[in-house]
Amino acid sequence: MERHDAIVIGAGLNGLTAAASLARAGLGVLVLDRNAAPGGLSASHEIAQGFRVPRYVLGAGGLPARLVADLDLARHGLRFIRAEGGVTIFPDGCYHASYRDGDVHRRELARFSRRDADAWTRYRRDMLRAARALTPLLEGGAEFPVARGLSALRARLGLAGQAAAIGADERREALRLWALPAADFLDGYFESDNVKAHLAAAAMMGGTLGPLSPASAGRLATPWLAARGDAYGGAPDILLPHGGPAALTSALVAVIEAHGGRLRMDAEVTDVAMRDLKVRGVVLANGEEIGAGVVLSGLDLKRSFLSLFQWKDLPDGLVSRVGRFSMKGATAKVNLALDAAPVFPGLPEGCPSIAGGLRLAGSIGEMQRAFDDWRAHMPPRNPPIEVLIPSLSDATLAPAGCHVLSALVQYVPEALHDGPWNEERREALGNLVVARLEVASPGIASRIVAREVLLAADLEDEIGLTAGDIAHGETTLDQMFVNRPLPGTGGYDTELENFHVCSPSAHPGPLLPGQAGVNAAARVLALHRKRG
Amino acid sequence: MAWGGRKYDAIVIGGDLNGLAAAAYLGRAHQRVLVLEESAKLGGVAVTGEIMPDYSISTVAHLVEALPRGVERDLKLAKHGLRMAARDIPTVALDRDGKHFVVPRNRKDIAALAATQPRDAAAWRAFDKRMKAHAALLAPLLLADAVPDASNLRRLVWRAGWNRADRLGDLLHLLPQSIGDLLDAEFECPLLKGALALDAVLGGADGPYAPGTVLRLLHRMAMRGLGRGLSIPLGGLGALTDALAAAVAAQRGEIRTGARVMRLLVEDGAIAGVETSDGVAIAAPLVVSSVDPRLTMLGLLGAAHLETEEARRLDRTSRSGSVAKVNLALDGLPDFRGLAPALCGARLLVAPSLDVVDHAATDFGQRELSSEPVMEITIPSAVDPALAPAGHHVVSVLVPFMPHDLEGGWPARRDEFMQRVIKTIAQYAPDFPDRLIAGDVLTPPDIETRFGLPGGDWYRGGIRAADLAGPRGPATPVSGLWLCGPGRHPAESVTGLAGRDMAEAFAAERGHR
Repeated sequence: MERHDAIVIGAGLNGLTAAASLARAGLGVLVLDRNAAPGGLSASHEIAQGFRVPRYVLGAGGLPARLVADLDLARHGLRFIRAEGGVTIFPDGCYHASYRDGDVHRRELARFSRRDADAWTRYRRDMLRAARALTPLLEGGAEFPVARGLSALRARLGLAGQAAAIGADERREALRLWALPAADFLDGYFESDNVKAHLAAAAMMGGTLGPLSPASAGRLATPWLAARGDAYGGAPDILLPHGGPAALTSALVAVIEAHGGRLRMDAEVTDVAMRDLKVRGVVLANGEEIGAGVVLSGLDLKRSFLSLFQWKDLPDGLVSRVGRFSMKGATAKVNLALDAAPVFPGLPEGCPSIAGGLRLAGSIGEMQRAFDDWRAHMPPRNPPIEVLIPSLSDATLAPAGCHVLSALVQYVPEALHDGPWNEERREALGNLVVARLEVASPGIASRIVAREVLLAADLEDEIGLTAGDIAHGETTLDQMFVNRPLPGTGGYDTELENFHVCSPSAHPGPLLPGQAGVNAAARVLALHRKRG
Repeated sequence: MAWGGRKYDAIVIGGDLNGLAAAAYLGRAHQRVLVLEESAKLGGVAVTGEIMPDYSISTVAHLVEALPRGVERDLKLAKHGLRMAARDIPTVALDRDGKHFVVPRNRKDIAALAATQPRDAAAWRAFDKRMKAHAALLAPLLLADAVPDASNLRRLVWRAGWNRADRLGDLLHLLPQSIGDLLDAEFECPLLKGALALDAVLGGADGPYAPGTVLRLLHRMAMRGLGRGLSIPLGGLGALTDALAAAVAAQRGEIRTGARVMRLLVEDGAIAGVETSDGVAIAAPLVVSSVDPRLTMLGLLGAAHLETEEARRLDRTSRSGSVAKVNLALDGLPDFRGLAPALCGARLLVAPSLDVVDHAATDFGQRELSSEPVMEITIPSAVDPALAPAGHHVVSVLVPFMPHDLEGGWPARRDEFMQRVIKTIAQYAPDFPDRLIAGDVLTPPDIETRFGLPGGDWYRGGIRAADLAGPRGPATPVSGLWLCGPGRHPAESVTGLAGRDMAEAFAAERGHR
């Protein structure tokens, strides 16, 4: 029987970062994935002859800078673009852009309100503080003790205390951030509805909270998490891989292979081999058994346990606890193949902020109504939309002169209250997105060569993401930090020996892309060293 | 400006329950106290009024959430005339088909619940024990008037003890959760879930599925744990105000109504007294304000006396109430189908399911009237017949999730609102509309103007997780100026606690000096 030190299930971003970390530490690693190409959510597929679209592209925040350095990705051919912070186009055609330069950004704010321009310094300071308090907690996940004793809990609280060794005031601010609705929090700084909507729209993408939901303010800090050390005084940069997600994937693969690791595609793991709650390897769909010292699952928590194991073999109560882990799909995607570059005449010529993502959003009130629609299981009437044009950074995705556009539609329920998502409703959603795009970019509708609408259910079918939840589980506090993935389990270990979760279902979730994989690998290596 | 004759040790601005309690406690500490109340009537929202002649009712607040034994004893409230018409009244979840039940408080109630909902009755025992343990553990943190800091948290961990580590883990998981998700996981009966959810979210802006609402329930339980259950005073809430006012007078305190404070007088960075609207300055080295902190600090004191950050923080504390009040006079006891006569004096909750509560919250978020309002109803005349002519009754209804800035404006939609309330009650008591003689609606804007409460935010039952981090405690940056108004004490709906803690903090500071 073939045997490896470590097997990683799933070649998504976190599976790859975990495998790369393990390989760099000298472990013999095998990555298994059921798809034909690595990349998971960021792998691309063809929507028309010559047009390829990545299923998902890193949005706000981008890659954490430390991860890039730790994995030495630059040496394996990866270059980065520091993209500026994003643009929102409102229904009336006016826009608000984020710039990295403080003066430019304040001038931009002053177009809406002089007071808001003055408030920016305060907002930025508080966001950087919040990020500073949070980042060690997110990066340091591997030290989260897994034992359930009081000393472990004490250590956890101690860790929280350490992270916040920056004064009681700042800690209080951090608590406010994790408790307040985004709208209330922003009201504390800004008066212009456009300014607030611009910040809120970016924060709400990919989540399951509305701008008026308590705790939604926490998401405002996300883009700042990776922004340490930026000194320009404006909005945080976004670190994006040059050449798009495909370049990131191939760099990670190069790291793994350079350190003796291997990837096997078209290899679906159907079972995890276990004896006495000790995991010993995996079984593939073709019946082949591969042994491993340790198995890391890059699948979401539900899939990791509910589909890789015989339920009767799992410890008592685990199945129901995993079942209660809340995963909700709230995002749909509309991909367009265009025979020309989309133009946005409302934006200034050559606005650099488009690289950080373009959003179509109304007021905070409209966003909340879209959220209410989502909760009522109705197609949202006026959802916030994030538009990415991956072919701008990766020319191989479309024929020369052509482009692919990918619109992420927020607050699209996975199931509707009055029947299934049928072809007609799917098209209606597509039409809604095209109509909204048409307002921002007149004439774009006539340039569409092909169109594809991907719902949460499609993500579940194609990538195997439960409920199509791209966050791998809700990111409310009851499922974050010590509660992620499960309260009492915490961290990356599971109740099964030699089996670890390295997907964003584990700490720190989707907040720092790729970090869960790195943290899980660090935990595995720590255990490995302890055993000698 | 002339300095008015007598000197006082302390001036209390605002003659509501907290102001009066602070005055009474300061009086006990041998301070000569003057209470200045702007309106003609003391008590703030704890007043008794008339719907029409001979029909009296607690105008706004209608229940004593908790009256701590210590406060009752310290201030000799019984001696000063406070009698309870009913103590520790049960809470009934009303059912349209008449299958009401009492939200269990004891074994008998659980047994009664078990008759119809055996599974939920079994689950209740574990749930109740779990929540009570958490509430007890958190009480010192949730109810103290000081902001918890790292040492509080360490003490909490220490208090949890070795053998209760799991409890702390469970708590960390529970606190950020939504009450809706928790109840869905624990219970089946929609009525029970609706009632428990309403109890948690009443008075706030968040629906039962909003993260962090479990905290509200625990906070509520912790507050109620300080008293001896929900009570209805004989003569309405105004009687509680009267007893507190008598307690102030018994300590040689002076109370003036119709006395509006225009500004606070500061000398050398310390408080020197107040100036009233008739231009008289009253000197006192201690001024306690029980009116809104923003009004006190920015309106009466002036931002010039504050740090920029502090002033800005106060400026952005906008308040907006979400609870409307409907007072009704009836020509007989309404016949709530299937409700035992003994339970007519109970707290009746109209919250048939979690979904209904959730919809009400969603409508609130969209500044709309909910199509099916949820309510908390009491019939005070059932336990205090003197409130209405013989055989007649008064009914008091709290309607949560009513927006201050209603779409279309309140004046145009008052009647529609009243009709919806009556129609909803009629689903439970069909004879209700026919028995109606007179009714009175108090919307959040009404409460704002009539009682001078910013945003009409009067219901002091809830706390948000964000409030835990907010400014707390009675001290201010100005020496001699203390606050016991809204938002300064986490257990405001517990009678007298904010006043007592303020007086204690003052005594401690003076002792220290």
